[in-house]
Amino acid sequence: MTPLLSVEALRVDVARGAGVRILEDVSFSLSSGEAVGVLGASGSGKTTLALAMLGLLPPTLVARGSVHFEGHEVLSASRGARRAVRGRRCSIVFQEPLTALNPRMRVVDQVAEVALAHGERDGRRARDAAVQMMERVGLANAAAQAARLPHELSGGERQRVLLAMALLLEPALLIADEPTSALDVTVQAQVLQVLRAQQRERGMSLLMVSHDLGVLAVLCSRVLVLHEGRLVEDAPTRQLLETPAHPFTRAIVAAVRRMERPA
Amino acid sequence: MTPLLELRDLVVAYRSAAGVTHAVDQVSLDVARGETLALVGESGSGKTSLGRAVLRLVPTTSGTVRFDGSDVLALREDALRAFRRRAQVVFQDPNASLDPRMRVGDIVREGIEIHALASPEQAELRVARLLEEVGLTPSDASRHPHEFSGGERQRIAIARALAVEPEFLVLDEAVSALDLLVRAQVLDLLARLQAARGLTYLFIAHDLAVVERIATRVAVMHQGRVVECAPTAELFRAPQAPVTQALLAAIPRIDW
Repeated sequence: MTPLLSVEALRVDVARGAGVRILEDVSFSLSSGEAVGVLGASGSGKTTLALAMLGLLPPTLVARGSVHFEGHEVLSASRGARRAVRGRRCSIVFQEPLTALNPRMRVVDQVAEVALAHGERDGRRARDAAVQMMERVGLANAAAQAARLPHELSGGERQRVLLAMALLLEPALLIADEPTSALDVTVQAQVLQVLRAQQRERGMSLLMVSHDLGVLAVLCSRVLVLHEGRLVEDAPTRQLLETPAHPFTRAIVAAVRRMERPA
Repeated sequence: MTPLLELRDLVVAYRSAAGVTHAVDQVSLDVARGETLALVGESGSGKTSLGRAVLRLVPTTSGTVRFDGSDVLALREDALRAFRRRAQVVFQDPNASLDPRMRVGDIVREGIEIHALASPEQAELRVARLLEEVGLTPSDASRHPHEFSGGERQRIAIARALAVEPEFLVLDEAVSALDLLVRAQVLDLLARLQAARGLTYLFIAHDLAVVERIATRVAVMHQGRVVECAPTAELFRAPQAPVTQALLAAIPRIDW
């Protein structure tokens, strides 16, 4: 069976920076229904990796190599072809839910927009579906909250709106870039639960980017370790925790162990 | 021995169009010399308002704040300046708290000059030593904040706070924005500095996991009140308040 997502020899450079390489020879694949974590420090290239999966790299960056999603090449695809896939078959959620939302638009309309962009013509039906999805991702009192503007919601509520947007059309793959690092821990736990439920109930695949090994260990069966733009480790989560191979991974695992088990 | 910091029935209320909000509601706490009291709660629980009220950075509605026996809210002029030297703060976001146009050496030196703590030559030397103490190098003094990583910038903010030889630091989410590995390193640095200088910390965080290693005691805040305050190991072993239990349950624990 071909993997859902397959990345081969991906390299990303700054377009005009002489020799500034962000990602170097990254290869991995992700199967249908699998949850894979990408562990890395800030500056390791993990957000660039997440963006490249969707063909969302800014024009200042140049990508080489290949990214295949559901058999189609993403990097060389036309903008129209990428748009047809994005939001429908593959979605992304970011860390900062406030900057990702339009401040002047009711949240229900922003979620519904995803359906309208992908062929739904009935605005009312799109909004109904939006409210339903907001309920499913645990937005309390979704029907009333739907009519609000982003600034009227808390950070956790806004992140649920983004999740509803990303999950509305039941994508095969969700890419989550530090989706909970700006949230309170109790809200983080709820959001992780929503992701896990989506993954289990629908067989959705998940590519979760984080610096927090604890968060990745809760959700992912396999973890890729990105260090200074290179993939230095790719191992089942259990194996990574028990016998981390790369010095960077060993340092992270030791730090987490020490933080969890005070002297 | 009297505690370094004593709060009694502290209230911080904000007035807005929606009415009066009690950000801090009748809080009484002591912080002993040399200890780390962690103040933990979710966003909006009042922990940052409490930290700022202690430093007189926001007005207090009622109650008392005593620092080393004297009434902080009654301090004027010279006495207030002396208090501001002894009690320093490190904020969450070093991008916002470090002036991007200033060189690191000037950022760290500023407090020494304001409080006239050393001659210019001595100040120079003190800045160099401080930078080394927080894990940077003396030559970093001539660089600008943007040339440093997030963790390094937080080290600069710590050096700046220490420049005036304080006894007490409010660490307001000081490691929350940092990567796990960098966070562990800065926590180690804070523990080392505390041991070497006999510092007292009020360590504010939204995440209990962060304070487990560094805190002597933990106070949990919810809706402006302290709902539980206990020695760290005890609080982790047998949390009493439902809020504490929820915060503990929410920590993504690795099943080793």
